[in-house]
Amino acid sequence: MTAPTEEIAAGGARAVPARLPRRARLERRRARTAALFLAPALLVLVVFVLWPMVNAAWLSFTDAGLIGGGEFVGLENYTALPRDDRFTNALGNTVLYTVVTTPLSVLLALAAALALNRRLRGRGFFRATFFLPFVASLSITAIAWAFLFDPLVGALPAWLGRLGLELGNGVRDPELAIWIVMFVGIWRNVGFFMVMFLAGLQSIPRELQEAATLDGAGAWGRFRHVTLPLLSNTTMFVAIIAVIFSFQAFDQMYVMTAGGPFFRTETLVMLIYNRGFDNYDMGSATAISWVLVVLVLVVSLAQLGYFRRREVRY
Amino acid sequence: MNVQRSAGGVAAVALGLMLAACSGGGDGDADSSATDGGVTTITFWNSYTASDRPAVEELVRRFNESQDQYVVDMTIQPNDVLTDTLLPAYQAGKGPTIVTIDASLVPSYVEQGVFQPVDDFYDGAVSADLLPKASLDATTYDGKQYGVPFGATPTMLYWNKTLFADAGVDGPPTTMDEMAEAAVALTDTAQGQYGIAIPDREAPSVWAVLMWAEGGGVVSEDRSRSVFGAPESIEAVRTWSDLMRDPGISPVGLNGVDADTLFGAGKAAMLINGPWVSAGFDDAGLDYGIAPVPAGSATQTAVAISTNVHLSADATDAEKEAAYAFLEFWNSVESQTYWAVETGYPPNRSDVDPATLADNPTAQAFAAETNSRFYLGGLRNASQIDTDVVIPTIQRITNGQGDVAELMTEASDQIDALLD
Repeated sequence: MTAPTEEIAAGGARAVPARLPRRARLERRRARTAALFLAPALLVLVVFVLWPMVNAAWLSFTDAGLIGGGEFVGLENYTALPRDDRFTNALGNTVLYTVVTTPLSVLLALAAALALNRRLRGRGFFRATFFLPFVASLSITAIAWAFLFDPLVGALPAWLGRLGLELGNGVRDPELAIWIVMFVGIWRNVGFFMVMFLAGLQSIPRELQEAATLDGAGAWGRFRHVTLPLLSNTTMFVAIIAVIFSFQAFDQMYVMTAGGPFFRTETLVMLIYNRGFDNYDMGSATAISWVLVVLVLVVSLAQLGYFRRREVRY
Repeated sequence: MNVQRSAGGVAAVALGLMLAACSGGGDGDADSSATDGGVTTITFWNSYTASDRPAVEELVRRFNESQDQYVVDMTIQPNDVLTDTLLPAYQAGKGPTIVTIDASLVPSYVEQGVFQPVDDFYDGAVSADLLPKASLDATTYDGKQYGVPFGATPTMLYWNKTLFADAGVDGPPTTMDEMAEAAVALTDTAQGQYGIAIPDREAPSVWAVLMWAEGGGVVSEDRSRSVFGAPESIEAVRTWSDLMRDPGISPVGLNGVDADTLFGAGKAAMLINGPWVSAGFDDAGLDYGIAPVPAGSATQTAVAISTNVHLSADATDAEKEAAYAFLEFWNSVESQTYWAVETGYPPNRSDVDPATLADNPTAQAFAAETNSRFYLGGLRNASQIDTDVVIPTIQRITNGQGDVAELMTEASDQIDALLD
């Protein structure tokens, strides 16, 4: 019984032609073309993203300076972090910054999007005005904000002073500085998130809103039971991006406070910069970078899980 | 079939172009300092971006025209850009033959192996005895000399003659006690007027001067231990920080530019800084005087600001010869007189006749101040000691966040840990 089968199999093997069937050849050629088209983008990713990440991971296990490889020190750069006051302080500042700016900027962006999704005069102007801070360079606008908040020559303390609101020593005030840089961070991002929400709002079918109105739903009811659930994908995206932006906060602190007074506004990214380019301690800088990467990943995955469970489809 | 083949071709060409773009720049200018037909070209980076820029450019132009053996190819860029790019540039083999940086950074750069000693420069036409001692001390590391002075100046006391006269206060103060009294008398916080502008960062350290005057400081003269926690240092910081809080002789938390702006706007009666700010005060029409930093109970001394030229470890003999020729030209009597008159910096050489500086009273005033010390010179961790320990501690104190003695003693231990 087995012999003929073997014979057939052997014969079959011998019978395979030297050239692949036309269809397979076409597939292979297509794959080759696709690979060639993808190659430039992949090359950029490998050279500018993957390689630096792998390289940073290696450096984080060494005592490297800015030049030269350094010696392998195992987990030393990581185990030193919990006892490092600068790191715990920067981590605390980053968490505070994220916890305050993320919900505030998402809520403000949603409110702005809802307001500007209706027909009203000057809608284009307002949309552009909200979006402008995001396209302007934060380094430049932060310089402008530093002047506006300056306790000696700034316009804001003068105006608010007339209303009886004291801004103390502005960005030089250890109690106020972090709140001012948070304000600038929110101001910058709200417009960008608003545009995301506007796109989400426009994709909600009008019939659903009309049907809800016919069923007797009021404005709040329509928002609560139709708009918000159908926006959940956008909200998820915006919330994740907002958290990532917050964890990466750097520009306005660098420009307005340099992380001071006495590290009160030093975020993790500021600390990474300080360790790497002021202290030339690439080992510590890259170790903190990897902690930040893991932190962002964990929080983003948690957010993704949370929103996925609450996702609504009609 | 044809479409596919040509599409593949396009992708291949695109990839080829990209690879070419990535690898480009490797050829041609790999060695930007080169000897060609008997002419040696050296590259020179510095950050003289302010009002002193035209004088630097003019002197480099004069050097290039004065002879036909060497060419200095100069790049001027902002200080933070220069310090951020210098080490990566050296690592990539594209660093400048010579560069000027702040003297406090020199030891850490020497440790990274990017500079070579220049002791033999002083065997030539320019004797070390003629050049600023503070600059030479600041660029000596491990017993070797790594720098040649480029720009060197002490800080001095600027005082606003109009504000002093209006308040009926005689000026300038010559002792620290007089300076404190004048600062209190000239402070009128209701009018937004301050007796003095004391910055805590991004400026030549005023706090070092205040501590030195009373016999304290940050590190001992032999650079071996911290004296930040010494009673003299604590007392000096306590005195001035108390006055900043009450009656508020200076705003708290100023950076260097804030302090200059305040004095320039006539809102602060005194300021301790270098010669480069005088041009702005002249433009603002301010009636001001320049006086030596007042003497304290222990001594009278100012901060030395020192920018020096350093020679790349990779420089060839020909490039070194070209660099030395340029630095001899730069430190000649003629060049230094031009430099002082144009910028207000004192000349590097002590044998320049003060009478030849008459066209620039700022230069004359600064040339007359001979007592100055470099702040945190010759220390590998100088920048860390300053930005991570001294500045935040002073900020805590001036913001009233803790006891002066406790904070400074704690900081002193941190500084000791950063001294090798």
